Amino acid sequence: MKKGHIVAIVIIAVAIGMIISTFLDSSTYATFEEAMEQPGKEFHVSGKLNLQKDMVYNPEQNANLFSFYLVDSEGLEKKVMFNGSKPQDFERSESVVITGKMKGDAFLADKILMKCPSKYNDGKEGLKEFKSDPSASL
Amino acid sequence: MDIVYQGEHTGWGTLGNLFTVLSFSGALLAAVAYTFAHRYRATSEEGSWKKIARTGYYLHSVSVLGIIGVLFYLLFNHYFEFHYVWQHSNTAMPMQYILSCFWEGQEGSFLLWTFWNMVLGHILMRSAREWEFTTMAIVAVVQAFLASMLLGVYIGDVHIGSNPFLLLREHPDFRDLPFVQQADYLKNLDGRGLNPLLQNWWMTIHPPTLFLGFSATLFPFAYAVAGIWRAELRSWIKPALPWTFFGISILGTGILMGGAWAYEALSFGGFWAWDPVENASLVPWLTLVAGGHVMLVNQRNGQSLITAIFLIFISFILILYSTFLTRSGILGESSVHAFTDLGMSGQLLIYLLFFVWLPSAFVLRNKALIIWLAISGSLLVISLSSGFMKLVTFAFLAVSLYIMLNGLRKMLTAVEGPEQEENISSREFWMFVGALVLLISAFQITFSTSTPVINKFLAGNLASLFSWLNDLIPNELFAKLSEAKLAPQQDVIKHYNAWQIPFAIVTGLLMGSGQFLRYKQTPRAELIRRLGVVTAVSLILTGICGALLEIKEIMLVMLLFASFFAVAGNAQFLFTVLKGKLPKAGPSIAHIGFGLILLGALISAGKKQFISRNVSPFDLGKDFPNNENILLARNDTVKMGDYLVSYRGDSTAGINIYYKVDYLQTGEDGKPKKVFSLNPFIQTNPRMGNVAEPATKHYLHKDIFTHVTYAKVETPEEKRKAESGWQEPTDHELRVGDTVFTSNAMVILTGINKNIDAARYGTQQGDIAVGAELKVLGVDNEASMVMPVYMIRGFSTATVDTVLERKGLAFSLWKIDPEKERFHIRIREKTSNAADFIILKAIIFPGINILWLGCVLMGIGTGMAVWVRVRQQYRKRAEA
Repeated sequence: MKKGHIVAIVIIAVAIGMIISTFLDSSTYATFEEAMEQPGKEFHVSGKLNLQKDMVYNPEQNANLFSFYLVDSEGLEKKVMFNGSKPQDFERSESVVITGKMKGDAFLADKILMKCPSKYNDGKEGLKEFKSDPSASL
Repeated sequence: MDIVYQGEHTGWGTLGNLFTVLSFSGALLAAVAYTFAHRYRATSEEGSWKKIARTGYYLHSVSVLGIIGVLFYLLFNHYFEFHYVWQHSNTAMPMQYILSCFWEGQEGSFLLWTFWNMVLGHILMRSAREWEFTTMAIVAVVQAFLASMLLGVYIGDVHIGSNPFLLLREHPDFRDLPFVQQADYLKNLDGRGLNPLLQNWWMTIHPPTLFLGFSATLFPFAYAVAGIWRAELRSWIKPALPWTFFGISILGTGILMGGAWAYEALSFGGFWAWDPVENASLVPWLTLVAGGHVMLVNQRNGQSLITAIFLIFISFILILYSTFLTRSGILGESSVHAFTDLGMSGQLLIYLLFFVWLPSAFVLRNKALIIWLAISGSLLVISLSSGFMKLVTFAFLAVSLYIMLNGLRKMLTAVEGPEQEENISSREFWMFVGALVLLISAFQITFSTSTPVINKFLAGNLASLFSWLNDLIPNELFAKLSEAKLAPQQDVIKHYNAWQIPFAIVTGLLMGSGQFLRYKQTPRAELIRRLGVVTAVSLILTGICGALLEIKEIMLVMLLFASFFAVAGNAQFLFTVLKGKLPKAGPSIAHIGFGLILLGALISAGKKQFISRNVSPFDLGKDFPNNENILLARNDTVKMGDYLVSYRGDSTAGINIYYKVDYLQTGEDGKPKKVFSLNPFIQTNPRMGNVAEPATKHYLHKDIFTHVTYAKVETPEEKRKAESGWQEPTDHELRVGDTVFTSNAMVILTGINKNIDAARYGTQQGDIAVGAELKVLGVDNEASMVMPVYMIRGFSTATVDTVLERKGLAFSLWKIDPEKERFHIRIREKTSNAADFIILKAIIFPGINILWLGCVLMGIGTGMAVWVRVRQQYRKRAEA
């Protein structure tokens, strides 16, 4: 066997490994109902804020806990507990994508992706991401 | 009746549109004429075709400058009747950011791209000589594609391009609104303004550099495709080399500037987050670096030609793909976005399909070509008419690629016979392996970034197929694929690092040792001696550094070693082999730079430390592990890491609210001393939302990053209200010596005073008056004494309250319990006392300057390499 072939086989093997790991590592977009079926498993849920209900952020008590109510695409509403500070201008975001898992009747989120109302913004500028994970960036 | 609008400058718009059309026509003319010039080369017609082609390109160039000039003129003069001007600027904005307004929108950024292509095209036109016709034809086609994106015309129902000179009142979002029906609608109109995040110094230089890098990838591509076109698979490499390394240098610098911007101006606390937009620019750079190295290999041994062509080809295609990913909005949406939208993203996709297809047309001849033209043409038509039907589009891409690679292989073996085996101890072999590692690394990043595209691809038939497979053999993989709802990885950083750190280790090791290998074959003894020294030095450095920084993870230790190895290997090569000779030092310096980037990234990111740990008494349990935000009340001092941190209040300057944060350290006398202050700020923007920007203290060995994650942003009126208002009072039952806390002070009941000054408190004969002596010790260590008084006159009681204005506190002694010796003190606080706090995040990045030093060295090194190659070529030409 030629060296070229060995290299090619190694590359293909690594590439297949990468593809599978990417799929297995990736999270899934879901509704609250689907997230409730598998409590403890991480999901991405997108929805709209319920501005009628209270958003609670009491930094005097805990600067890393913020809660609000989100209505998912199926119309189901759940309380979301976000482990982080309240994002700037949170009330203004039209829709948000949260990342986390269900626990009991609440969704514990560790990431919030806000979509700003300015529909003219394109790409990156229209989105703001708020993470809470300490290892979330280099 | 038509409305006669007042104050519009539509003439400028017409001029802009004229330039747009001319730039498109000029580019198209140049493309066609250059093709004919090539067709009729070495005939009497060549000269006139060349003349037409160059004229077309000049026309295009002047028009591009014209478009840019007009757009700037409109922006500078705040002509908000133009949608682009309205959308991206306003009158309140500082002038220096006009540049950023220019390229904030899609049209502007494509214009910037067109501009750089155009400028570099002139250099190519002058330097390409016998390659001019073919390479410039390709450049001109690219320019025609880009220019078409600004056309803004309708052909039937299809909208081609987005016109930057569109009037606000003609824009689909506005034309039905009542306010544009008024003749004087412009009178009070202000622009929407620039995204606050882009109002940053880095944002004025990062996009032009990045787009220059994007443009630079076109030129090696043009040479490679021209090589296929002219059936000269080998000779394109030499003239394309300087372009390739120019691209590596500029694109690399542009990406790192983006990192610097993210670090300085964004809130995520780091310079790299594996964000899709960042990845999109990194991937083509990786393949370009790989391509450049394989081209060098080929220059030495004549091998790996197809790999070189493929890498250069894919770099340019990936630039297009990345632009598509980031510009089409597909990344931002969860699933709603449809491919059927033939907006600019659709055009970009056609553009991509065309350039994937183009080389395949050049490898075929005669009958085969005609058949392929017919097949690919019909595939394209089917794909387009069905809104980029997935499988058809995919088939188009795959078959084009196959025909290109297969054609190249045939062309090559016909001329030169099968490729030779490389010697395993040759430099070429390991450079080739390194290039493949970079390619895989690029593939991994692209694939993971592309989950939204993969979802689109899976949805429908393929998903059902996986669903069926999952019923057959149930497993997680098939289950996931059948849902077609893949979301980004839960822990994106971890996912990418898991793959990229091993790649970085291999790359580092190859970089450190590659220079010592010789082309062809290397004597073993020499190699072992040289590498032995480098390995020993790197091991020692890894040991020291690893121990000092407490790096324990095995992968990180290996990366630490690999980066030291890369730096040490190239440094040794630079000083012992090259003996510091500058002309050849470019690659070594660039490699040292890259090694330092790896080292700096590892240390600053791996060992970053959140010093703003919350010490809240409320334990949220393991579901809420994150504690990196901390509340800092005004004038309160909190211990953070080695510092005592104190928030001193806010101040407003323009649209920014600055929050002064003092960092103190205990001095020799045991008292805290201010070391430095930082002013992180919040940019208020009523239209686009407020944005917080960090402030960073730079030391040589570490940075202290400080970011306000939350603060109550009040309008001046709300603020005034807050200052005058009072909160709900609190009651305290105190004995002498007791202490209570307010939000900003400690209050101690030091004693009881029965000798009340009648004149001051207005007591009369027979009154019983008692004063509570309160010592108020502020968090700023300032002490004051106050004395509220309680009086009994006959059967009624009265209180004389005291207000301590400086601290916003009011005290009242309203009841005395003589038996228990308890004094009831009521304390009120001003509303502003409580509101005045910020939520802060503070991170220490150690050794981040190693990273920046590496960036600078890499820029210098690659720049030197380009310079040396260009000079060599000119010398050779001068001799010839």
